[in-house]
Amino acid sequence: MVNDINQYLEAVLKSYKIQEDGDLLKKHQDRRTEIREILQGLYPSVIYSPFDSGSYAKRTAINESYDLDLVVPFKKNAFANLTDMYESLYKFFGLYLKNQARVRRQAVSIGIEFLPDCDGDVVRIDLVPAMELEMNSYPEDPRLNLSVNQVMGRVPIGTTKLRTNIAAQMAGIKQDSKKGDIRKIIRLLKILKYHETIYAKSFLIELIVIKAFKKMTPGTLVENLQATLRYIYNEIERINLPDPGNGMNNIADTLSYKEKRDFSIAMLHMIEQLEDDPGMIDYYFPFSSKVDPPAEYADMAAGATIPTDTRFG
Amino acid sequence: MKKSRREIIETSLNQIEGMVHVGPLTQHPVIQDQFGTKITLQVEDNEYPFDVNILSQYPYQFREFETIHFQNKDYAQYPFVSPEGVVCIHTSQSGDLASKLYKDIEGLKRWVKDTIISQSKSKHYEHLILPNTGTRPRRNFLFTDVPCNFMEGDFGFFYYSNQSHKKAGQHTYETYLIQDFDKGYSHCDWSLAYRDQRHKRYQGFYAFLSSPPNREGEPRFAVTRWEQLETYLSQDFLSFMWSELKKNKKLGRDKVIPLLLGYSIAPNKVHWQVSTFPSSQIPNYGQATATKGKYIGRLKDMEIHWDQTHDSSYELFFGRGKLSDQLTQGKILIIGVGAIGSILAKSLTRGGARHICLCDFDLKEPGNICRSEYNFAAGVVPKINELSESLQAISPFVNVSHSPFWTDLLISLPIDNLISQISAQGLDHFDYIFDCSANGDMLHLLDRLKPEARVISMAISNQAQELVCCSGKDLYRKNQKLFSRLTNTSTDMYNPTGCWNPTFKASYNDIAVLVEFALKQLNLRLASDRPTNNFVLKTQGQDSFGIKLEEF
Repeated sequence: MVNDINQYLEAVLKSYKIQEDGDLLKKHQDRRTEIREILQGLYPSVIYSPFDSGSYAKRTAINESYDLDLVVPFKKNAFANLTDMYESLYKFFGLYLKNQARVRRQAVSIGIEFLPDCDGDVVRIDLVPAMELEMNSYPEDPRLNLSVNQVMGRVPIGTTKLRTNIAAQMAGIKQDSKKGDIRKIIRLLKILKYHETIYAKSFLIELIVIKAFKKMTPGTLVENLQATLRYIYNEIERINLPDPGNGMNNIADTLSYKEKRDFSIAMLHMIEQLEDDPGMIDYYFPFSSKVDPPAEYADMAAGATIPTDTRFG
Repeated sequence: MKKSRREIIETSLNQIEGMVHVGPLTQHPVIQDQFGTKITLQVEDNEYPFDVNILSQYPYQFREFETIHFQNKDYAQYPFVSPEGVVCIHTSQSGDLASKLYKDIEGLKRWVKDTIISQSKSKHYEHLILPNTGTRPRRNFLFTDVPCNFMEGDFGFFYYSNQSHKKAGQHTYETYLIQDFDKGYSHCDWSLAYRDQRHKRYQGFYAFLSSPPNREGEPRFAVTRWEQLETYLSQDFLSFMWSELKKNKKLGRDKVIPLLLGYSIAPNKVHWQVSTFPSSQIPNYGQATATKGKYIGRLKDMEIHWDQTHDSSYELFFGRGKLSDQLTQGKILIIGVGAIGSILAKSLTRGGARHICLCDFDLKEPGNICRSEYNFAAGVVPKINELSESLQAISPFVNVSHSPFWTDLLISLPIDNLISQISAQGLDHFDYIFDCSANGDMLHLLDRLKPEARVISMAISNQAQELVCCSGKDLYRKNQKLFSRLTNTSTDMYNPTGCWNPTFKASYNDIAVLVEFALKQLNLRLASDRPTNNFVLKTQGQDSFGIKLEEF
C-alpha cells in the first residue's frame, strides 16, 4: 500500500536509474563502439564521426527500455539518395548481425536488438543514418537529412527529406529539462510508455513535458505529474511541438489524429483512476524489474500474488 | 361497416396514381382470400400490363417471399424476373392491406422505370436460372477460390469429396466439396481438415467457358439441352471427355458423373455451374465426317440435369460479418479452453479466424458442458480434441492445431533448458496469445518468456460479475492489481460431488456476454490499428442488466 505518493514516485524513479558504473551501460557502450568502428571501416572517406543522441545523453533514460541512439552522418556523395543510404545500412546490418541480433526498420532509424547475453541483458542500439545538406557542409552546418521509412503519425512514408539538427535538439532538451522536475516527469512518462499505457516517441514526450511545465505552477512531484497528465489530455490533439533542431518540423505530427486521441484518452483514464483510487499509482508506475524495490515496498513487487480463488476461466 | 378484403383491394388499386386499368377481381375457386386480376400501369409515356395474383397470406410475406405476384411472360428476359415472368420486388412490410398494396405497386413502378425504361444493369452478378430438379436428389457442390487463373478453353479433371448425405422429407440432400483441379495441381482454399486426403475423392470433368452457358437470346436462363452446349465447349474438350468416358472407370460417384462449367463473373472471380449425368447416359458422341476415320464431337439432344453450386469462398462465407483482418489473418494461440477459452475460440472461428492453436491438458466432463462450448454427445474426451472438431465443423477456413503438452513443457522445465527455450520460441510463431487458463503461474511464465506475440489475458470473477482483460507485458502484476480491486468477494462456490476442487458459479449466458463484449472491445481497437488495452467489465444491476467498461 502506498502512503506517501511523492516518496513512492521518487523510489520508483530511482529503481529505473541507469547505474553509471553498471554492466548494462558498459555493454551498450561496447556495442556502440563496435558498430561505430564497423561503419568507419566500411565507409572510410564518406562518413563523419557518429555520435550518441539518445535519452542517455539527455539524461532521461530508464533502465527497462534502455537503448543508445547512434547518429551516423554521411557525406552528400556517400549514397545516391536518402533511401539508398537507409537501405544499404539496413541490409548490411541485417546480414552482418544475422545470428546475433534482430535488425528491424523503424521510422527514421534501424533498430538493432542483440540477443540476450549470458546475464540475460539485451543491448539495443538505434542507428540513425543521416546525410549532410550539401557536399562538405556538415562541419559548418550541423543540420542533417533523415530518411522516413515508416508512416510516422501524419508524416508519410517516403517523405524525402526530414531535415533536422540533432545536436541542437539535444542541447535544447538538455538545457530545458534541467528545470524543476521536468526530467523526472519525462522519465515517469517513459515508464508509462514502457508499460504500454501510452504510445509516443520519446522525443515527443520530452517536448510536451517541457511545454507543460511552461504552463504550470510547479508543485510537488505528484502535483507536477497530475498537471502534466491533464495538460496532455487537454492539449495533445491540437498542440504544435516544433523540433528544436528545425522549427519547420512539428514533432506532434509524428502521431496521427487517432493516436493523439488515444493518448488523450489514456491520460483521462489515468487521471480518473488516480483520483478515484490514489493506490492505483503502483499500477501505472511499478518498480523496475531490474532492481529489488526498497524494503518498505517489497510486498508490492515479487511478494504480491493472485489469490487462486478469485480469478476464473 | 368495415370493408371486405375484396373491396379494399379494388378501391386501393383504382386509387393508385398511374393505374390506367384494373380488371375485375376474380376469386380463387377454393381459397377464399386469394384473388386475381389484370392491371395496366402507366409509367412515363408507356403502359405496362401485368396479371396480378394476390395470395391468401397477403399482406404478410410467406417464407420471406412476397405474396403478391405481378406477372408478364414478355418480361422474363429482364433482371429480377422469374422464368414464368413474375417480377421479384421486395418492399417494406406492412400489416395493413391498403398501404402494403400501395407500396408494392410503387415498387413495381420503380422496377419498370429502372429495368425496362432506363435499362440500367445492376453490377450485382445474378445467377443463371436453372430448371427445377424434379424428384432427383438435391446435389449441392460447394466451391471456393483456387490459386490459379482459369482461361477460356481450359479443361480437365476436378476432384470432389462427399460432405454430407441426408434424407429429409421426400428429398435426398447431397453436398459435395470441390477439392482440386488438375490445372497446375491447384488445391481449393479450404482448411487442411477439409483438404485431408483421407476424405475419398471422386473425379469429374471441368471446362472453362468464355461466358455463362445461357440460352440463345435469353441471358438469364441456363441452356436446358446438351446440344445447346456445343457452342460453349471445344472439340478438344469433347474429344477428351469422350475418350475418358470410354476408358476411365473411376469417374463420378454412384455412377453419376459431374461436369463443372466455369466462367468469369468479375476480375479474379469465377463462378461454376454443375451438370450431372448417369454413366449409362453419356451426353456426347462422335459424328463421322466426310473424311474417312475422322469424327467430330457432338452433344445429344438430351435434357441437362443441372445441380446446385454454392460459392463458399472466404469472402462470401464471411461476407455477412466478420472480425477485423488483424485478428482473422493472425495466428492465434489460446491457452486454456474452459468456459472463456472455448467461447472465445468459437467466436473467433465464426468471425473468420484462419489459424487457431488450442492448448489445454484437461478432459471435458459432463459438468463442463452447461457453461462452455462442448457437447454431451461427444462423451468424455480431451477438451482440445472436441473443440478442434467443433471449430472445423463451423468453418472450412480455420486451421486448428492443438497440444496438451506445450504449456506443460514450458512450466515444467527451467527457463534456460533447451527444450523449454525451443517451446518458448514456438510462441513467437503466433501473433496473439490469449491466456484464458486463469492460472496465475501461466501469466507469470508468459511475462518471463516475453513472446513476440501480443499476449492477452482474460479471466472472470466468481459469478461472472466482472471480467478482467489485460494485454502486453507485466500481465501478472496487472491482473493481481485489478483483481485485488474488485468489490465482488463472493465465496459462494460450487462444490461438485466427490470432488476436492470447488469451482466458480456462472452460467453460459453470464460468461458469454462478457467474453463477447471483451472480444468486441479488442477487435474494435485492433481494427483501427490501435494496440489492445487493459480493461475491466463490470456487470451492474439486479433488476436490469448492464455492463460497464472501465479502461486503464
